Amino acid sequence: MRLTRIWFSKKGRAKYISHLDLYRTFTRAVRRAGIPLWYTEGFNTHPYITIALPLAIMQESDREAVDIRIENDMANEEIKQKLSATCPEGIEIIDVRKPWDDPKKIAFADYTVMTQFANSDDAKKFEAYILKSLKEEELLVEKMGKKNGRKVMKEVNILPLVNKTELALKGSELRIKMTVAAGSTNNLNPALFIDAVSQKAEFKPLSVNITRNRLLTENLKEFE
Amino acid sequence: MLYERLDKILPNVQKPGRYVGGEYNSVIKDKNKVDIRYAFCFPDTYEIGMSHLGMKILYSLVNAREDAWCERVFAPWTDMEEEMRKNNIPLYGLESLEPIKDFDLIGFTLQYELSYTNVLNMLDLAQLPIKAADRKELTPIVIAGGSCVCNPEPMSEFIDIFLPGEGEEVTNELIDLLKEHKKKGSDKETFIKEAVKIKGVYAPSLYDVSYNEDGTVKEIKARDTAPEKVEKRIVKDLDSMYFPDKFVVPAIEVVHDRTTAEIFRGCIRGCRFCQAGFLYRPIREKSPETVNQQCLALTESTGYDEISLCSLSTSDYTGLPSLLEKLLSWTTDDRINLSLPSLRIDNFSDDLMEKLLEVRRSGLTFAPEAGTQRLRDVINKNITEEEVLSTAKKAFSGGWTAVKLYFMLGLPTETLEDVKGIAELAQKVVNEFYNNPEKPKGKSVSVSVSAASFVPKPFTPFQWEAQATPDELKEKQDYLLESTTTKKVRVSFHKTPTSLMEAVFARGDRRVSAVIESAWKKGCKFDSWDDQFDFDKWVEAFADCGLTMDFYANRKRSFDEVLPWDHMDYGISKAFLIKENEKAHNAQTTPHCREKCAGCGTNKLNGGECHALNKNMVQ
Repeated sequence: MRLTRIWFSKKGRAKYISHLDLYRTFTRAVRRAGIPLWYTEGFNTHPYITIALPLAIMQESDREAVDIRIENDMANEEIKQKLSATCPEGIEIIDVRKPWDDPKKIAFADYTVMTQFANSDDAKKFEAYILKSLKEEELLVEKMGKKNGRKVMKEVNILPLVNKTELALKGSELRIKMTVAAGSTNNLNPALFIDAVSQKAEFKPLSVNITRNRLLTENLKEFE
Repeated sequence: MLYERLDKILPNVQKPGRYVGGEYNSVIKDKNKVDIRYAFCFPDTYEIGMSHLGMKILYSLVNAREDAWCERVFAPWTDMEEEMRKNNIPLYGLESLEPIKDFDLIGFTLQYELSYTNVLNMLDLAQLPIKAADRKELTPIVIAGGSCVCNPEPMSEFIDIFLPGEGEEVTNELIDLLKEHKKKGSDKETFIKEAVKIKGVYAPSLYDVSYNEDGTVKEIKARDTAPEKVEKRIVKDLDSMYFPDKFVVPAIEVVHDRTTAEIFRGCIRGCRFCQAGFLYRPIREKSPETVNQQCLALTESTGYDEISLCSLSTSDYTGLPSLLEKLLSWTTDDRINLSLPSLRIDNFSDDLMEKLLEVRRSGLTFAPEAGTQRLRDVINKNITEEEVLSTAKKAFSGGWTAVKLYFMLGLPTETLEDVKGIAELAQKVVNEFYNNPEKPKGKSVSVSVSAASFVPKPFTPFQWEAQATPDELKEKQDYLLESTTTKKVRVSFHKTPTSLMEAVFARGDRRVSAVIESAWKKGCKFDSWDDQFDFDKWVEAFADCGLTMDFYANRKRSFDEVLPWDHMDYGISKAFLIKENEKAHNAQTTPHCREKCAGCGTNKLNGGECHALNKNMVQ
């Protein structure tokens, strides 16, 4: 049995595959590919397939990782070839190789957020709101959290979760590149950031397209 | 392409994965290289439609042709419908994301009566006139198949062509003909007059229906080239019949997400309430070799880890022991679960039980259907109380602790005594658990009783019977609850207004078309969904059209009344159905088809052949 990491992109129609559905999608793609999956022992036996970091539905990604445990010694190159043929439209296998970092090491992620506005004035105004928000002490959003095991709405300041932003205005389109906290302890979905700014601005973009570019570790080095 | 526009509205709807396609094994073709574009429409949600075997078969069958491209279409949920209407997005095929109004064929599968309003809604969302007569062009031709087509009359205003029976062969023949007429530039009428020359094609526009003063049908007359009787199509040999080696694998979770293998068509049992048991006759079996090969190919191409055998009564398949042996020889190693629905309790052998223990343990379901032996004899459900109890005992010894029991309320001749019998039988099953020394240690038993309301259906011996009124059904439901004294037994019911509507559509005539249209205009859709069904609107719609529900649902017909579906020939002779009805009222049973041929007449469709006659249980 060995562990191998599959790097893939998720674009186009595949962005509508939710995190949970992606797990099922991979299990089936791997089975179709004839890759010998390792199964857990015990009564409720299942394959070991772990997606490094969940990606929100309707967001695209340049580079995602999924770890699988396999039996036998099928070479990574062969896995890549076989799996490339059995993934649904929109999921491309980029690389298959030995995992380096533990997924627990993921601490940040790079995103590109493309926002579209009715006109360049709105885009400019929104840009200003972003810059203003970033300078303030806190940017509060309502987030579903847990209190004593029960689900409750709570206010969270998301500013500490934003590490870096880079804005580029082009007509009615505003591109926001951001490095934000990611992982199981601290995590920020950039859509939440856009929502928070929209609330301040009292208007929102006509459309928001979010792409995750990279996964990063604590010291902002690429997760590998 | 609609993709960009969809991309903007999909964030506003639930489960957007239903609406984008792109699933593994979905078929993409070059539209400029095909002659016929076919939209296969399932008038319910994606999750339900994607679980339907018939759709998978016909999708692949059409796409196996180079000259045709079949795409899938489902009923958008209300949130998506709202977005589509607001943004002027017409109903589209999931493969090309192009509007189906530009396709050549639009095919609906009518699996249950309460999906009828969705058909209208989908045509309207496609931006097509809902009425057949208002669609003047040759294409798109709107066709419909599926079990409800045995009485197509309530939908006759909306559908151009119905295909009664099995679609595997007639679909291709119809596509060939349409391709030819499209090339010739024929008009719609010319095409339809030619189409009805194909066996198993019914075009309602070529039939005139007249009525008596009391509202019953007086006469159904065929015009022009149309045959007086439309004989349903069947496939003679299931082994050589087309069967897909690929299924589209949905990314989102659907109801049945697995490899499904059909093992035989028809049913030997002849339960008198069961429409499927008569509609799919004669019996034709697929060989275990073929089924095994098809399962292998399908699991390989889909990656599914579950296979379900599909038929009306799995344990009546003569090849079952042989098939299980073949399947288990590779499924265990490949970590594939087998599920065997529709097992009968009277031939649930020890051997079969042992094999079942090797496969995954799912719930155990029995369908005694009626509470007393007398009533079980009336409906010809040839199961005894001893059989139910001894199978329950075997199952409890085998480790099962939950049992589901299916019954029906409102069966012909039913009395409160029979209703009480349901509670008593359930209690006996509970007792069987506690009297069993081999029962699972430290566990309790749960018996769920599901009591559906009986709906009389065409082509069954009960097609002339009156359905119990909602009040009568309510009384019986209450009585059943009163008679149930233990907490180990949970009782659930079907909603009575839903069953009433089903009964109306099942035996409705052409005039019911107007009611469906009126109800749809009032906003009725997804009628099979409890949270969407709006009975008051249906009551209004009937009143608007000057018709009553009880005329269709709660009226007993005489044997000589002309039935709205009398021009449909499903092979079953009326004389046989009358004889069975009379036997029912005398509580006389009819042995199953392998014991003795009951002479239903359907083997005439298959050159006199029926596998119930020449295949016995030992193989």
